[in-house]
Amino acid sequence: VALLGRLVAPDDNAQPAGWITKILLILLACFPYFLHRFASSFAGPSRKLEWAAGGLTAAIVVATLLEPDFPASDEPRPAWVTGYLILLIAQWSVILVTVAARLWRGGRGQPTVSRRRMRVLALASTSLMIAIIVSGLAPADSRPNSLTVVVQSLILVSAVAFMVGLAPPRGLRTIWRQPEQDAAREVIGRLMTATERKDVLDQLLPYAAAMVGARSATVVDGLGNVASAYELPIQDSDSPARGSRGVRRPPANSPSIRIPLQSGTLVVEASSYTPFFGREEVDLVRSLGSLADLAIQRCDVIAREREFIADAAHELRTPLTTMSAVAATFALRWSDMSTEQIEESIEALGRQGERARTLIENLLDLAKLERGAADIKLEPVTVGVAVKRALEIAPEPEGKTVEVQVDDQASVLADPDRLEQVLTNLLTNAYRYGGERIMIESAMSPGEVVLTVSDDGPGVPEDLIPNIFQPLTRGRDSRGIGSGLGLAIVQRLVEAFGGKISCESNQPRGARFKVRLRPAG
Amino acid sequence: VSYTVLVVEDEPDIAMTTRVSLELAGYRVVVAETAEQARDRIAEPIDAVVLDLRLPDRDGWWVVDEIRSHPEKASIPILVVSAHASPSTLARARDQGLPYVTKPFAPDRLVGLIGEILGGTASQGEDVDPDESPGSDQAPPVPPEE
Repeated sequence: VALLGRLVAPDDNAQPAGWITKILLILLACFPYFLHRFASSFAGPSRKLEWAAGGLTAAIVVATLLEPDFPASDEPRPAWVTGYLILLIAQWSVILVTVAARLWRGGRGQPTVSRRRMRVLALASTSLMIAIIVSGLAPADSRPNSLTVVVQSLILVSAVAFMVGLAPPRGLRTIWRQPEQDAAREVIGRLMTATERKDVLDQLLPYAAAMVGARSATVVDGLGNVASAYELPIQDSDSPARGSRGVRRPPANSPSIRIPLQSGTLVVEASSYTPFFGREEVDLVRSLGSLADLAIQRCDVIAREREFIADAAHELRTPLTTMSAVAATFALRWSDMSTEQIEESIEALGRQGERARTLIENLLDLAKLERGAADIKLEPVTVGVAVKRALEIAPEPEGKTVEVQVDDQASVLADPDRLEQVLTNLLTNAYRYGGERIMIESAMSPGEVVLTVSDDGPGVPEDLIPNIFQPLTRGRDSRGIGSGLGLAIVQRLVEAFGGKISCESNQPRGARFKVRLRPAG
Repeated sequence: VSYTVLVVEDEPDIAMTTRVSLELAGYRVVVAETAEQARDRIAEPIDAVVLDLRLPDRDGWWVVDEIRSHPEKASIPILVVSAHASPSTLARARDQGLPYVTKPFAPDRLVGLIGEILGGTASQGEDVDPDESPGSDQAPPVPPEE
């Protein structure tokens, strides 16, 4: 650009050789064309514009190669030079004005930084164009005067504007980004108070879309299903009535930005300008995505708790139905009841009262364990002794046998009463859901003692295994005999001992619960 | 001859209290613990069904379909009992014109509803909305004397 001034109004003492002038002129002609290509890389130009820009540039290049040597500055300007200059000015103005218009229009609906950058580039383009026209139309013999000052300052403005548009300093970007930062803060606030997954995504998506100037944003789950979608309402400024003249092609290369979340993938159909102008905005969306992940995790915990409360209430409903029905019948119909009816009602009352009591005790126990408030003291416990005592508390019912193959030497770190509870619960579970033969085995390896309780029953249904240790998870055929909390308590206890429990299918059939504990000593 | 009610309920104690309440109101009661058992008993001389929707083997709605497609018993009244009073369950019961009670229920309310639907056997498919039914205050329509 600096060269331009010299060549159009060449200096006295800097008269370059003819071929150098030509190369410089060709480069000069290429500058607006490169700018045109730059703008075209975001949004394809119309066919007419493409031809005009390419044609004018080619014409200049050909003319530059064909013409004879340029006259020196003090020689009179021949007619062909004037024609050449007009062609050059035409090429520059046509291309620069369209580039400016396209960048300006492209900035619409973009986040502030992108919009400002694109508009500053449009400004740069425009002032360069004005500088060219002014200096080109100036009389050939002009001496340094006010016109030169105008041209020089326009060129300076343009140079600064190009620099700011292409690489704005960080401080400026920060100031420009203020509206987006404010929006981000507001969204973060809402994310942190959302209690449902859907609310989180509903907050995140419009923000993510606005941040990168996208028309739509979606969250796609692991299976490729759309979990939530947002589409920008059509805005007036984009309507054809006010907007473009002529054919406006849809952005051919508009990229979709994919941001992985724990709950799926955030897909933003970004504007084609985003990857160049809005990289930091994409980063901002990314960090908001991780916050959304946290918010979703929180929502899931809340949802689980709500479900648990509902399930627990439901569990209590069954014994309550019997107890309140018996009470009501006694109150209203006592005199009509037969001795047999009274007896069976009282038995049911006892059974269901006991069931409600167990359920509530287990719920409290579980709550304590989850809070870490259970008083668990770890000490060496001989496995064989614990198994023996568990079998005393929960002896095998009729029709079931328990085979014990436990190493006498095996000793683990556990709370003795609680280890018995673990074994009792596992045994009870096997009695209820397992087959006729139940096995308790131990295996010692360096670093751990593995206790296995297995049976030859129907086994745990595949779909139940992942949730088997969740409270109130029960098999279909359970008939509500247990509290549905036994295995959940077992898992929390084993973890409190510093161990791990797993459930798997037994071969050839049945279920197998493996408790891995730390050896004592 | 007294009416016979089939109680389909897998919780033995709830089945027992339901049975006792109905017996005290003068009905004969047969109990089925599973959906399959219920299906097998439809053919027996029963006049109404109290059906828990949560059964160990199959969905209670399956039993409804079995009854509704039975050549002779298609039109016997059914009272649906549900522990989960979810809107979808209630809507489905309403769509099928079935009265329902949710657990825990007062036994006399259940007995009242049974009396009502048995009294209305002449006009089939009438929707008895339990929310509007007088329920507990109302003495059951005189069950036939034994």
